Amino acid sequence: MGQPAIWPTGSVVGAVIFGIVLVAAWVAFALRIRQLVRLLRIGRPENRFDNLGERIKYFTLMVLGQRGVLRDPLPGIAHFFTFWGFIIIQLDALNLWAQGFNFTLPIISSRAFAVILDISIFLAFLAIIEFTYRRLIIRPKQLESQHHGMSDAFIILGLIFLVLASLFFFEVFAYVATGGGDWTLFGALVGPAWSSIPAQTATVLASVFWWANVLVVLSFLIYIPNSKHLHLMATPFNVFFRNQRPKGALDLIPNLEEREDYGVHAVNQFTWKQLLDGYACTECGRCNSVCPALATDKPLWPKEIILGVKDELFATGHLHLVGENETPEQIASEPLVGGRIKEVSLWACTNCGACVEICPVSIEHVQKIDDMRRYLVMEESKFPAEVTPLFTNLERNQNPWEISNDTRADWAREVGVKTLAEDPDVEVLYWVGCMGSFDARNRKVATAFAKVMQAANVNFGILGPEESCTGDPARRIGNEYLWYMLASQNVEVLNGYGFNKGASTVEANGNGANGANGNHSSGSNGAHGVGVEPGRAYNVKTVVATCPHCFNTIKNEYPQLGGNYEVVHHTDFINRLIDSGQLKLPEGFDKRKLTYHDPCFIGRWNDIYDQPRRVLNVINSDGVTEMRRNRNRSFCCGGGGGRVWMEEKIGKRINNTRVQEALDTGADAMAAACPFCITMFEDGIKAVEAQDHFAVEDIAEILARALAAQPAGVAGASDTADSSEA
Amino acid sequence: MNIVVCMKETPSTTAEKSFTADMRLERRKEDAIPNPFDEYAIEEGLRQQEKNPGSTVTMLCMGPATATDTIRKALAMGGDRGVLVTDPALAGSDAISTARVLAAALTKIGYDLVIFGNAAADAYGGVVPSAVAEFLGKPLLSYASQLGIAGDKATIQRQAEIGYNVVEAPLPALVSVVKSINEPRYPSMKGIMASKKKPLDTFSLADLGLDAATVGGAAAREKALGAEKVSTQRKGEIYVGNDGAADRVVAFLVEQKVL
Repeated sequence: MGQPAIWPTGSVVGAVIFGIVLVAAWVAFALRIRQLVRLLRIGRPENRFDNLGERIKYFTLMVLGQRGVLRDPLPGIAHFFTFWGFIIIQLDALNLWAQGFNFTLPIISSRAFAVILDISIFLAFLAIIEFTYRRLIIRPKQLESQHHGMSDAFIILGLIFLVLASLFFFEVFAYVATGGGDWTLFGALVGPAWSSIPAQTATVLASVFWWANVLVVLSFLIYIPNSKHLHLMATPFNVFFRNQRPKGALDLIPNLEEREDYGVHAVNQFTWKQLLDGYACTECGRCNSVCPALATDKPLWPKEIILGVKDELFATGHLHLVGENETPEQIASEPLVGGRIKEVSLWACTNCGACVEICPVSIEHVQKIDDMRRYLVMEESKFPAEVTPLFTNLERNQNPWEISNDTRADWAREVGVKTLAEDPDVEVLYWVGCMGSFDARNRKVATAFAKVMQAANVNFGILGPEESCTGDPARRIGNEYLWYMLASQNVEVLNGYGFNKGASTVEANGNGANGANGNHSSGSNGAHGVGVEPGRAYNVKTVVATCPHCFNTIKNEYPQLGGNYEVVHHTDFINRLIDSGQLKLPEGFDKRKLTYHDPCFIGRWNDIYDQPRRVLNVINSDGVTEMRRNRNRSFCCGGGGGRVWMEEKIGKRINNTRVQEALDTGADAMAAACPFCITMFEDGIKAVEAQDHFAVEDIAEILARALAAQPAGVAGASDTADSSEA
Repeated sequence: MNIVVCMKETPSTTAEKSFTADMRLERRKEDAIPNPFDEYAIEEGLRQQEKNPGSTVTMLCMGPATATDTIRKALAMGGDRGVLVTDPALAGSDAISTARVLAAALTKIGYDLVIFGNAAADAYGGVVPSAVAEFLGKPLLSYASQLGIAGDKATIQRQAEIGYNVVEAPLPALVSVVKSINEPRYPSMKGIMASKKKPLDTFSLADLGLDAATVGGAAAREKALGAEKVSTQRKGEIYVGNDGAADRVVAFLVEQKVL
């Protein structure tokens, strides 16, 4: 520790006054932080301390490396400079405070640090010019808010400016006052020009700017946790505590049949991490800018969902703190759902995950939306009327329609595909899904994929009537109970055939492999489990699904019920067949100009972007012509989150919007990999009257056509290939 | 007001139907659902309870012993209790026997307003409501598309070909409802859980003081002679292209007297 060249407080009295200010500011800060932490703790418990290694890695990358914000280059770089500038200025602040007591800190008071500091100040200065320009001149739509003004943003930009400016002048005047003894880069650059100022005047001015800086920084300390810039403190924590479970999985509601409440309608029913999301939100609006519902004029602002929860927490959270003295009525009088958050917003969500994907601070919007849907469905029984037949049919027929599940394998007879009940000695189970099994358009996809597998000599079977809807649409709409019943039934069937990776020696036990039993009477639907022979060992291993929604829920959500399976999406599976040489394709057979639509549930939720493109690059002569929004920025078809079962009454149609984007590439056809996308786009293509020159096809259909055009025996790797059927 | 909803357990509309040698429908437990027409009666009972505070709703069903599950599905939508009339001797009951049993059960449990669906989705007889009214000697307001209770009077709108008839009757009365009367609710999770704890009484023929010889197969005056599967395969014709397709569609519609 050394002595500073000047003593800005100038006397013991000055130092004492400064000491009081310093302590008071820190006490105010600590009290606010304590309050914020107590508010978080009204939320439900959730373990976010798992996978510590991964957490530290991601934290380093996103917080220290700023990779999230850097995806948007110009404001990203500006943010990078502000962030690091801030850290360095904070370190310097410690030294400035020490100077108030007439001593200096080591390292921070070094000349090397002084250089780094002044460069940081300069870059941070450029950054706030960029931010101001952006807010005043560019005014991106995403920065608009429903109920939060821009004044907050300008206050903070002004404060940052004052911090930088006061530091600049303090340094220059201190340099002048000490004749260069208090060396700084700014001092060395500007000081000589101001050397005519008498040393005494310069000392006074330096002290004035020192006080200005100290007071602004301390006001900042109090202001930050009381403003939207709370994110400065909350973001690092939010990033650290981000979701480390499979991102495509919704959380399980535990003890479904014993509990009193379902989903979320009051702020204390969220977990503490979900509440922390609100603290972390910087209101940057990236989520709004990518939301397909908002882009088509629906009343869903993902940002407003997050801020709505935060506002509710600040408005009513303290009521939950009072505890036993508080009457529940008083708390319930402020319903979150229907109050700050409108039901119509919740129903507009397609669960596409674009908001979650783009959020630079790891906020999880979709889980919140679905939690509130759960409340509406399971407690209030309030949902779009057209969903009722879906639920009823799923309960009674194990598929979304009024069709007997006994006919589920009918499509397969024409292509000679057997059920596991008929022939369990297969290596691959093709999970067809309801769309592939019953829907006329998507039966063509199932048929095409079956032919592709036959051409590659894959030894596969299907479940047929033993397959039920995976429950995905029910779960995404909020009917956790229906999902639970359907999923439990499927887990039972799959475990019966020995799919579960949990068991090393696989033996069928006929029924009830795990404790999952829907004991509500409507759970006693359909598993006419005729196929499984008790005591028999089966060698089936992989589950392949053509439906990304089936794929996602079996892969990522069935483990919640004890079902751990090797699940592969068919685009990935086909890619593996090509890689291993098992499937030989006529390269470049498809001569059309082709674009590819990334389905949300294999793309964003499961990171399958390359495999479908690799397959298309083999089969198509030109490969994929990308749409403006592709890969993790892909724009939803409008069918996810159960939306395919609801009417789209508000705004433009999402499917038409996406079809137009595909047409804008000049493509002749759009390759897809999801039955819901195909259904939505078939409608969209007709709506924009493009059916004469544009089509949507599953990747499997494109391949099957190419294989059918080949001479028999070429397709498969061995001549036992049954290509006569292909 | 004591509201009783009469409901039947039927096989799911999509279930594969099969018959025993004496032409009785084979009922599989996993296919059993509340008769879809009765869902409107259940809903109407619950709405009348909401409109008339202090009312109770009882779900009354005649069926196999396992029909308790089906009654609980109705109770998941709401209502206070269930009553199942079950007895081995009831097997093979025709519409008149069913009405005789329901009338006896209604007399035993008491009623001010009895609501029926207008038919059952399995046999489609549609005579039980009127037969029950006959046994009870009480008025039946049939095919109601709207129901209002004022004082001790029930008033319905009965959909007619042009407009509707307004019909009223003093309580206690029986009402059969059509699908347009309401939109049945989907049970909430709370409703499903609560339904498991609601009282559900089971009556035998002896409990109702009925002679087994007057009901069931023994007393059936209707006899099913045969059942045949109807092919649901539709023969579609597809006209493609701009040349003449529209004309052929128009010609078809004219031929079918649609146009």
